[in-house]
Amino acid sequence: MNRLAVSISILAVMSVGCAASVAVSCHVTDRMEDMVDNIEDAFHRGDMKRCNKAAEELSDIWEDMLHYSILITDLGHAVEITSSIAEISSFAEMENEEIYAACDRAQAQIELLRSAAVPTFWKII
Amino acid sequence: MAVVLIHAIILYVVITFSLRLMGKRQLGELQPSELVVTILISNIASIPVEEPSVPLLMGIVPIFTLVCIDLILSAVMVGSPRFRRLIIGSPRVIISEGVILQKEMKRLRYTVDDLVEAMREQQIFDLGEVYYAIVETTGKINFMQRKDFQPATRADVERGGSTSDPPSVVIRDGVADDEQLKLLGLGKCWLNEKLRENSVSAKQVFLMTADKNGAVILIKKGAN
Repeated sequence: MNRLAVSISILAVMSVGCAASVAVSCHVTDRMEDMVDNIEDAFHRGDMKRCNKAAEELSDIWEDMLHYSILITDLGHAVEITSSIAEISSFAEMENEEIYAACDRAQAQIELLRSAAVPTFWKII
Repeated sequence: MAVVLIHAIILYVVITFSLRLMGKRQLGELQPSELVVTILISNIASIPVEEPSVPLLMGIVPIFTLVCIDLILSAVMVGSPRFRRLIIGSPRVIISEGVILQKEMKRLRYTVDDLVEAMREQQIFDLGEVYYAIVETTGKINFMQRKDFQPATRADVERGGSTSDPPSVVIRDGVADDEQLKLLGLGKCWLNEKLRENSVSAKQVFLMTADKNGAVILIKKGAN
Protein backbone atom coordinates (compact mmCIF):
# COMPACT_ATOMS: atom_id res chain seq x y z
CA MET A 1 0.00 0.00 0.00
CA ASN A 2 2.94 2.29 0.71
CA ARG A 3 4.19 1.75 -2.81
CA LEU A 4 0.74 2.57 -4.15
CA ALA A 5 0.66 5.83 -2.17
CA VAL A 6 4.17 6.73 -3.41
CA SER A 7 3.25 6.01 -7.04
CA ILE A 8 0.01 8.01 -6.83
CA SER A 9 1.94 10.90 -5.25
CA ILE A 10 4.63 10.81 -7.96
CA LEU A 11 1.94 10.74 -10.69
CA ALA A 12 0.14 13.69 -9.05
CA VAL A 13 3.35 15.73 -8.77
CA MET A 14 4.28 14.98 -12.39
CA SER A 15 0.77 15.88 -13.60
CA VAL A 16 0.92 19.21 -11.78
CA GLY A 17 4.42 19.84 -13.16
CA CYS A 18 3.33 19.06 -16.73
CA ALA A 19 0.23 21.27 -16.42
CA ALA A 20 2.42 24.08 -15.05
CA SER A 21 4.90 23.71 -17.92
CA VAL A 22 2.06 24.00 -20.46
CA ALA A 23 0.71 27.07 -18.66
CA VAL A 24 4.15 28.72 -18.51
CA SER A 25 4.85 27.96 -22.19
CA CYS A 26 1.48 29.44 -23.22
CA HIS A 27 2.00 32.50 -21.03
CA VAL A 28 5.52 33.19 -22.34
CA THR A 29 4.61 32.62 -26.01
CA ASP A 30 1.57 34.89 -25.61
CA ARG A 31 3.83 37.63 -24.22
CA MET A 32 6.31 37.13 -27.05
CA GLU A 33 3.57 37.31 -29.71
CA ASP A 34 2.20 40.49 -28.14
CA MET A 35 5.70 41.94 -28.15
CA VAL A 36 6.22 41.11 -31.84
CA ASP A 37 2.86 42.79 -32.64
CA ASN A 38 4.01 45.77 -30.61
CA ILE A 39 7.28 45.99 -32.57
CA GLU A 40 5.45 45.85 -35.93
CA ASP A 41 2.96 48.50 -34.79
CA ALA A 42 5.68 50.85 -33.46
CA PHE A 43 7.73 50.46 -36.65
CA HIS A 44 4.63 51.11 -38.76
CA ARG A 45 3.93 54.33 -36.81
CA GLY A 46 7.57 55.34 -37.03
CA ASP A 47 7.99 55.28 -33.24
CA MET A 48 11.54 53.87 -33.33
CA LYS A 49 12.17 54.39 -29.62
CA ARG A 50 9.21 52.15 -28.69
CA CYS A 51 10.18 49.71 -31.44
CA ASN A 52 13.75 49.29 -30.12
CA LYS A 53 12.53 49.01 -26.54
CA ALA A 54 10.02 46.30 -27.51
CA ALA A 55 12.72 44.42 -29.48
CA GLU A 56 14.93 44.49 -26.40
CA GLU A 57 12.10 43.23 -24.20
CA LEU A 58 11.35 40.44 -26.69
CA SER A 59 14.98 39.41 -26.54
CA ASP A 60 14.90 39.40 -22.70
CA ILE A 61 11.74 37.27 -22.55
CA TRP A 62 13.28 34.75 -24.95
CA GLU A 63 16.50 34.59 -22.94
CA ASP A 64 14.47 33.88 -19.80
CA MET A 65 12.64 31.12 -21.68
CA LEU A 66 15.93 29.63 -22.88
CA HIS A 67 17.11 29.54 -19.29
CA TYR A 68 14.40 26.95 -18.53
CA SER A 69 15.43 24.72 -21.41
CA ILE A 70 13.09 21.93 -20.23
CA LEU A 71 10.25 23.95 -21.78
CA ILE A 72 11.87 23.68 -25.22
CA THR A 73 11.81 20.19 -26.68
CA ASP A 74 13.47 20.99 -30.01
CA LEU A 75 16.88 22.66 -29.83
CA GLY A 76 16.96 23.38 -33.61
CA HIS A 77 13.69 25.26 -33.32
CA ALA A 78 15.09 27.31 -30.42
CA VAL A 79 18.11 28.29 -32.54
CA GLU A 80 15.77 29.48 -35.33
CA ILE A 81 13.75 31.63 -32.93
CA THR A 82 16.96 33.10 -31.45
CA SER A 83 18.15 34.08 -34.92
CA SER A 84 14.75 35.61 -35.87
CA ILE A 85 14.72 37.68 -32.67
CA ALA A 86 18.29 38.82 -33.32
CA GLU A 87 17.23 39.88 -36.84
CA ILE A 88 14.25 41.85 -35.46
CA SER A 89 16.52 43.75 -33.03
CA SER A 90 19.02 44.46 -35.78
CA PHE A 91 16.39 45.61 -38.32
CA ALA A 92 14.76 47.80 -35.66
CA GLU A 93 18.08 49.53 -35.01
CA MET A 94 18.74 49.97 -38.74
CA GLU A 95 15.11 51.01 -39.39
CA ASN A 96 15.04 48.41 -42.16
CA GLU A 97 11.61 47.45 -43.63
CA GLU A 98 12.63 43.79 -43.71
CA ILE A 99 11.60 43.84 -40.06
CA TYR A 100 8.05 42.94 -41.20
CA ALA A 101 9.25 39.67 -42.75
CA ALA A 102 11.38 38.91 -39.68
CA CYS A 103 8.36 39.58 -37.41
CA ASP A 104 6.12 37.29 -39.48
CA ARG A 105 8.75 34.55 -39.36
CA ALA A 106 9.15 34.97 -35.58
CA GLN A 107 5.35 34.86 -35.08
CA ALA A 108 5.13 31.58 -36.99
CA GLN A 109 8.05 30.08 -35.02
CA ILE A 110 6.61 31.18 -31.67
CA GLU A 111 3.25 29.72 -32.65
CA LEU A 112 5.01 26.42 -33.40
CA LEU A 113 6.75 26.55 -30.02
CA ARG A 114 3.41 27.06 -28.32
CA SER A 115 1.71 24.24 -30.23
CA ALA A 116 4.60 21.89 -29.35
CA ALA A 117 3.86 22.41 -25.65
CA VAL A 118 0.07 22.04 -25.77
CA PRO A 119 -1.11 18.40 -25.92
CA THR A 120 -3.89 18.42 -28.50
CA PHE A 121 -5.77 15.30 -29.62
CA TRP A 122 -4.28 15.31 -33.12
CA LYS A 123 -0.77 15.75 -31.81
CA ILE A 124 -1.17 12.93 -29.29
CA ILE A 125 -2.34 10.42 -31.88
CA MET B 1 30.65 15.14 -21.89
CA ALA B 2 30.05 16.10 -18.26
CA VAL B 3 26.31 16.36 -18.98
CA VAL B 4 26.27 12.76 -20.29
CA LEU B 5 28.04 11.57 -17.14
CA ILE B 6 25.61 13.38 -14.84
CA HIS B 7 22.61 12.16 -16.88
CA ALA B 8 23.84 8.55 -16.64
CA ILE B 9 24.40 8.74 -12.87
CA ILE B 10 21.00 10.31 -12.19
CA LEU B 11 19.23 7.82 -14.51
CA TYR B 12 20.96 4.92 -12.74
CA VAL B 13 19.56 6.16 -9.43
CA VAL B 14 16.11 6.77 -10.95
CA ILE B 15 15.89 3.32 -12.55
CA THR B 16 17.16 1.57 -9.41
CA PHE B 17 14.54 3.45 -7.40
CA SER B 18 11.87 2.57 -10.01
CA LEU B 19 12.67 -1.14 -9.86
CA ARG B 20 12.64 -0.97 -6.07
CA LEU B 21 9.25 0.73 -6.26
CA MET B 22 7.94 -2.03 -8.53
CA GLY B 23 8.94 -4.55 -5.89
CA LYS B 24 10.16 -8.14 -5.87
CA ARG B 25 7.57 -9.29 -8.42
CA GLN B 26 9.39 -7.41 -11.15
CA LEU B 27 12.65 -9.22 -10.53
CA GLY B 28 11.26 -12.71 -11.07
CA GLU B 29 9.17 -13.97 -13.99
CA LEU B 30 7.71 -11.09 -15.99
CA GLN B 31 3.99 -10.76 -16.61
CA PRO B 32 2.99 -9.22 -19.98
CA SER B 33 2.41 -5.72 -18.54
CA GLU B 34 5.72 -5.86 -16.64
CA LEU B 35 7.57 -6.98 -19.76
CA VAL B 36 6.17 -3.94 -21.61
CA VAL B 37 7.30 -1.59 -18.82
CA THR B 38 10.78 -3.15 -18.68
CA ILE B 39 11.34 -2.88 -22.45
CA LEU B 40 10.07 0.71 -22.55
CA ILE B 41 12.17 1.81 -19.57
CA SER B 42 15.38 0.46 -21.13
CA ASN B 43 14.64 2.37 -24.35
CA ILE B 44 13.53 5.63 -22.73
CA ALA B 45 16.47 5.71 -20.31
CA SER B 46 18.98 5.55 -23.14
CA ILE B 47 17.70 8.75 -24.85
CA PRO B 48 18.95 11.41 -22.35
CA VAL B 49 22.24 9.50 -22.02
CA GLU B 50 22.86 9.35 -25.78
CA GLU B 51 21.58 12.90 -26.44
CA PRO B 52 22.99 15.46 -23.97
CA SER B 53 20.71 18.14 -25.46
CA VAL B 54 17.61 16.21 -24.35
CA PRO B 55 16.62 17.36 -20.83
CA LEU B 56 16.83 14.67 -18.16
CA LEU B 57 13.16 15.16 -17.29
CA MET B 58 12.24 13.86 -20.77
CA GLY B 59 13.54 10.51 -19.54
CA ILE B 60 12.50 10.65 -15.91
CA VAL B 61 8.87 11.68 -16.48
CA PRO B 62 7.97 8.74 -18.82
CA ILE B 63 9.89 6.24 -16.66
CA PHE B 64 8.04 7.25 -13.50
CA THR B 65 4.74 7.42 -15.40
CA LEU B 66 5.12 3.82 -16.63
CA VAL B 67 6.22 2.51 -13.23
CA CYS B 68 3.41 4.31 -11.39
CA ILE B 69 0.76 3.11 -13.86
CA ASP B 70 2.08 -0.45 -13.53
CA LEU B 71 1.92 -0.23 -9.74
CA ILE B 72 -1.60 1.19 -9.76
CA LEU B 73 -2.73 -1.54 -12.19
CA SER B 74 -1.15 -4.19 -9.91
CA ALA B 75 -3.10 -2.79 -6.96
CA VAL B 76 -6.34 -2.89 -8.98
CA MET B 77 -5.54 -6.49 -10.04
CA VAL B 78 -5.20 -7.55 -6.39
CA GLY B 79 -8.72 -6.31 -5.74
CA SER B 80 -10.30 -7.57 -8.95
CA PRO B 81 -9.56 -11.11 -10.23
CA ARG B 82 -11.60 -10.33 -13.36
CA PHE B 83 -9.40 -7.34 -14.18
CA ARG B 84 -6.31 -9.46 -13.46
CA ARG B 85 -7.53 -12.08 -15.93
CA LEU B 86 -8.17 -9.35 -18.50
CA ILE B 87 -4.66 -7.89 -18.19
CA ILE B 88 -2.46 -10.94 -17.62
CA GLY B 89 -4.74 -13.84 -18.58
CA SER B 90 -5.10 -17.08 -16.64
CA PRO B 91 -3.09 -20.32 -16.53
CA ARG B 92 -4.14 -22.88 -19.17
CA VAL B 93 -4.05 -26.65 -18.93
CA ILE B 94 -2.56 -28.26 -22.04
CA ILE B 95 -2.16 -31.81 -20.75
CA SER B 96 -4.95 -33.10 -18.54
CA GLU B 97 -4.76 -36.57 -17.00
CA GLY B 98 -2.07 -37.54 -19.51
CA VAL B 99 -4.11 -36.39 -22.54
CA ILE B 100 -2.73 -33.56 -24.70
CA LEU B 101 -5.42 -30.93 -25.26
CA GLN B 102 -4.60 -30.15 -28.89
CA LYS B 103 -7.25 -27.44 -29.27
CA GLU B 104 -5.88 -25.57 -26.26
CA MET B 105 -2.31 -25.89 -27.59
CA LYS B 106 -3.39 -24.55 -30.98
CA ARG B 107 -5.23 -21.68 -29.27
CA LEU B 108 -2.06 -20.78 -27.32
CA ARG B 109 0.08 -21.24 -30.46
CA TYR B 110 2.27 -23.82 -28.72
CA THR B 111 3.86 -26.50 -30.88
CA VAL B 112 4.76 -30.02 -29.83
CA ASP B 113 8.40 -28.94 -30.04
CA ASP B 114 7.76 -26.20 -27.43
CA LEU B 115 6.10 -28.75 -25.19
CA VAL B 116 8.89 -31.34 -25.53
CA GLU B 117 11.54 -28.67 -24.99
CA ALA B 118 9.84 -27.46 -21.81
CA MET B 119 9.62 -31.09 -20.62
CA ARG B 120 13.33 -31.62 -21.20
CA GLU B 121 14.09 -28.45 -19.23
CA GLN B 122 12.36 -30.07 -16.27
CA GLN B 123 14.17 -33.40 -16.74
CA ILE B 124 11.13 -35.19 -18.15
CA PHE B 125 11.95 -37.17 -21.29
CA ASP B 126 8.83 -39.30 -21.74
CA LEU B 127 5.47 -37.74 -22.53
CA GLY B 128 3.85 -40.73 -20.89
CA GLU B 129 5.16 -39.55 -17.51
CA VAL B 130 3.21 -36.28 -17.66
CA TYR B 131 -0.11 -36.18 -15.85
CA TYR B 132 -0.79 -32.45 -16.00
CA ALA B 133 0.89 -29.60 -17.91
CA ILE B 134 -0.09 -26.01 -17.23
CA VAL B 135 0.96 -22.92 -19.19
CA GLU B 136 1.38 -20.15 -16.63
CA THR B 137 0.55 -16.51 -17.37
CA THR B 138 4.29 -15.84 -17.76
CA GLY B 139 4.39 -18.38 -20.62
CA LYS B 140 6.30 -20.96 -18.58
CA ILE B 141 5.04 -24.55 -18.76
CA ASN B 142 4.88 -26.45 -15.47
CA PHE B 143 4.48 -30.22 -15.39
CA MET B 144 3.09 -32.64 -12.87
CA GLN B 145 4.36 -36.17 -13.32
CA ARG B 146 2.18 -39.22 -12.80
CA LYS B 147 2.46 -40.54 -9.25
CA ASP B 148 4.28 -43.65 -10.53
CA PHE B 149 7.13 -41.49 -11.80
CA GLN B 150 7.37 -39.14 -8.83
CA PRO B 151 9.87 -39.80 -6.06
CA ALA B 152 8.03 -41.38 -3.10
CA THR B 153 7.42 -39.17 -0.10
CA ARG B 154 6.70 -40.23 3.48
CA ALA B 155 3.04 -39.35 2.95
CA ASP B 156 2.92 -41.65 -0.11
CA VAL B 157 4.33 -44.51 1.94
CA GLU B 158 1.76 -43.93 4.68
CA ARG B 159 -1.09 -43.69 2.16
CA GLY B 160 0.01 -46.87 0.47
CA GLY B 161 0.67 -45.27 -2.89
CA SER B 162 -2.84 -44.06 -3.67
CA THR B 163 -3.04 -41.72 -6.64
CA SER B 164 -4.53 -38.28 -6.43
CA ASP B 165 -5.03 -35.37 -8.84
CA PRO B 166 -3.34 -32.05 -8.27
CA PRO B 167 -5.58 -29.71 -6.31
CA SER B 168 -7.11 -26.68 -8.03
CA VAL B 169 -8.06 -23.31 -6.60
CA VAL B 170 -11.84 -23.19 -6.18
CA ILE B 171 -12.11 -19.97 -4.12
CA ARG B 172 -9.62 -17.13 -4.35
CA ASP B 173 -10.06 -13.98 -2.29
CA GLY B 174 -13.71 -14.69 -1.56
CA VAL B 175 -14.72 -15.46 -5.14
CA ALA B 176 -15.65 -18.99 -6.22
CA ASP B 177 -14.22 -20.29 -9.51
CA ASP B 178 -17.15 -22.05 -11.18
CA GLU B 179 -14.97 -23.19 -14.10
CA GLN B 180 -12.56 -25.07 -11.81
CA LEU B 181 -15.44 -26.62 -9.91
CA LYS B 182 -16.85 -27.92 -13.18
CA LEU B 183 -13.43 -29.28 -14.25
CA LEU B 184 -13.12 -31.14 -10.94
CA GLY B 185 -16.62 -32.55 -11.35
CA LEU B 186 -17.71 -30.85 -8.14
CA GLY B 187 -20.76 -28.59 -8.08
CA LYS B 188 -21.88 -25.53 -6.19
CA CYS B 189 -23.80 -27.78 -3.78
CA TRP B 190 -20.59 -29.59 -2.81
CA LEU B 191 -18.84 -26.25 -2.28
CA ASN B 192 -21.67 -24.88 -0.11
CA GLU B 193 -21.63 -28.08 1.95
CA LYS B 194 -17.86 -27.81 2.55
CA LEU B 195 -18.20 -24.15 3.51
CA ARG B 196 -21.00 -25.05 5.94
CA GLU B 197 -18.81 -27.79 7.48
CA ASN B 198 -16.13 -25.17 8.10
CA SER B 199 -18.70 -22.60 9.30
CA VAL B 200 -17.62 -19.93 6.80
CA SER B 201 -19.13 -18.13 3.84
CA ALA B 202 -17.28 -17.90 0.50
CA LYS B 203 -16.54 -14.22 1.15
CA GLN B 204 -14.62 -15.12 4.33
CA VAL B 205 -12.29 -17.49 2.44
CA PHE B 206 -8.88 -16.28 1.26
CA LEU B 207 -7.93 -19.51 -0.54
CA MET B 208 -9.62 -22.87 -0.96
CA THR B 209 -8.20 -25.72 -3.00
CA ALA B 210 -9.78 -29.06 -3.81
CA ASP B 211 -8.92 -32.18 -5.80
CA LYS B 212 -11.17 -34.63 -7.58
CA ASN B 213 -11.41 -36.79 -4.49
CA GLY B 214 -12.89 -33.82 -2.65
CA ALA B 215 -9.86 -33.23 -0.40
CA VAL B 216 -9.94 -29.60 0.68
CA ILE B 217 -7.48 -27.04 1.99
CA LEU B 218 -9.17 -23.88 3.29
CA ILE B 219 -7.48 -20.69 4.47
CA LYS B 220 -9.71 -18.03 6.00
CA LYS B 221 -9.15 -14.33 5.35
CA GLY B 222 -6.91 -12.70 7.93
CA ALA B 223 -5.87 -16.11 9.32
CA ASN B 224 -2.20 -15.08 9.34
